[in-house]
Amino acid sequence: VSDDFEDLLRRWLRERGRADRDELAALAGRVAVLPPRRSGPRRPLLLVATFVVLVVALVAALPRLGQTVAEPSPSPSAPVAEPSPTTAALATYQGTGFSFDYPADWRVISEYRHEDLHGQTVAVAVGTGSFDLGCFVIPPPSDTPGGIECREPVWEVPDGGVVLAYYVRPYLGGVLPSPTLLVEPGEEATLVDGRAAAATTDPASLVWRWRLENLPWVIEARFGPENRKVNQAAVLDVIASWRWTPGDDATPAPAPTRPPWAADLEGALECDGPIQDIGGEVGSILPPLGGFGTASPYPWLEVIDDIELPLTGWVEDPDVPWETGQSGYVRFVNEVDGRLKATIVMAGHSVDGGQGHWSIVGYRACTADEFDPLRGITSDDAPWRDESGQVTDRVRAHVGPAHCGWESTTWLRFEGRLYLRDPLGLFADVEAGPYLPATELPADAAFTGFSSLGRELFATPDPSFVWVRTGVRVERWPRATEEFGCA
Amino acid sequence: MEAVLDSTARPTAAPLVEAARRGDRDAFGALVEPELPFALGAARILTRSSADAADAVQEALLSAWHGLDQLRDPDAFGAWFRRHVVRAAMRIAGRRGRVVELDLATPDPTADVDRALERRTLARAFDRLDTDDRLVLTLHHYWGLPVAETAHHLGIPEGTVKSRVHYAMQRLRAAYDAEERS
Repeated sequence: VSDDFEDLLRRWLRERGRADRDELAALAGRVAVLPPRRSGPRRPLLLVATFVVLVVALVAALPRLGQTVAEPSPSPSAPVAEPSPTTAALATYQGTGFSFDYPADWRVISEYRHEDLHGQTVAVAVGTGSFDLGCFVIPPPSDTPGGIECREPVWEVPDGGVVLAYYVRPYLGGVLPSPTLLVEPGEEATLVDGRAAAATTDPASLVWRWRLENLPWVIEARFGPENRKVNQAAVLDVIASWRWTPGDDATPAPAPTRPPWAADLEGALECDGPIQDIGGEVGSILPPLGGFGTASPYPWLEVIDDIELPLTGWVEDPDVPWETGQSGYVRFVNEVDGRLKATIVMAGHSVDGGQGHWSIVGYRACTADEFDPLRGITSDDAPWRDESGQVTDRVRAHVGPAHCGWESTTWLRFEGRLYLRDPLGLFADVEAGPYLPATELPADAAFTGFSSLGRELFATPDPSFVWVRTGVRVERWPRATEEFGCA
Repeated sequence: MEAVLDSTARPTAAPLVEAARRGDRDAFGALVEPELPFALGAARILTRSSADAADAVQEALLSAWHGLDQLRDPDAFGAWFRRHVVRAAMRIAGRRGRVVELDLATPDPTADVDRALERRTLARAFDRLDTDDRLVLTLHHYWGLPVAETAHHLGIPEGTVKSRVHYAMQRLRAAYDAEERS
């Protein structure tokens, strides 16, 4: 790779990343309206306060992975008493696909498992301190189908204590792949139950880690500064006792009830153009294990409106009796003129007619321009309604034509004028001012009475802009100063 | 003899961080303001959308504000805040799960046509990369983070950063060549 190419990349990145002054001002202004800080040493962040209650309830209802009964995790302010790690008595942890022995006076600190479109999130921790993977599931209804919110794992290891965790987290929207195992500097090649691993087990270190071949999992041990040698010896004994069992997390077997139509989702589509890259094929994501998901598949369909897929027109196909627990998979399809344009596969199970755990496991669609705008295909194409709730043509909106490369824009006609949602500034030369993604309503703005999917249209006496409010967020859409089109 | 102060040394951010921890929004604003241009820029590169980028930075502001107690070294606030930005941007990018064309290279008729085409080709090639490649290139070539800091940022060894940058550049070059051919 030539230096010239790197220079070109740097110049282009600077160009692409150049921030608009108004945007920066708007963001700086957000600081002034930040909510009061929560006090305490560690606080989960959730975007909507009410989610806190839901998440707490979810975490409390987490399924237990193994047969060992977990004790409540200690709070950071009340660490457990330091045990003696020298006891010879052992307990066995039986997880899904693996097991190991650990000193009986350690505790099972954490057992956590979640799977969704972004992959698997699993944590098992034993020891004498505490471990928090830092992930929270955000259930529907939310704006994050399959959403999981993660922060840094939090370890609390008391002096003389030890925590050993086996975990995998969603890696920035996906799972960190480990197709091959490269032994990095500072690591040494080793085996964990016959599997190749790269390990850092320097006796002088307070953190040991094993990375495993072909697995995204990490086994990590952290030690308190006291009693380290004893604890390190105990951890090595745990690793030596590690046993993988058939059908484990590493090599997930296809779900036994997966129907043929759940395979090759892309092949089933009848797109005229490219296929959107959304999620993976069924099988690359395991069905939910229970404890998460929704009681029926339907809530997921209600939370996909931020993705360029139809809001309406989904049909369950084939019509399977998921309510009775006879089917673990459901497919929803969306057709245009009899041709399949989108498909969503959900997996889950239902117990006693409703207590199911459903989640999206497969998702494929053609691009938005292949759907019928009259059916309200995307949030930007959805019809606008007047104050009485009737669909109106006094406000009309549609996504910019993709064949001209304008699909990032939304065109809204109101009072005979054209307004543009133009996040990329494609039409900056013919706009009354920049589009602002987050701003405040001006004092003289008035609600027009028109709304669409929770978005409300505001206008001022000056017709240069309209404001679109969604919840607490306000966008400013500029007026196009001249008419133009795409041939 | 009095010590000579290094006039180029940056003042410590500790007082501002302490004030922000006590709930002083102005102090927090003073901490984040210098970071915002590059934060927004990186978020735009990673999410490929101005609106998503603004969302990501707002999320980062909120998470950093509430997470100030987790900041161990006040003078490392910038790097710490950037991690919030990257996490938020990658989460949003992953959630969107679709490619949004960000063709900012709308040719300026007064500009050199070859250069404009070069940038447009690069934009398309960059958008063909997966999120991990975009991330490591953004950190290294846009933020200009040294390998060690990139490694710290991503929680991976330095050697892995070097190999990721290397392979990401290879893939970008290949994508660029493919775009040129097409």
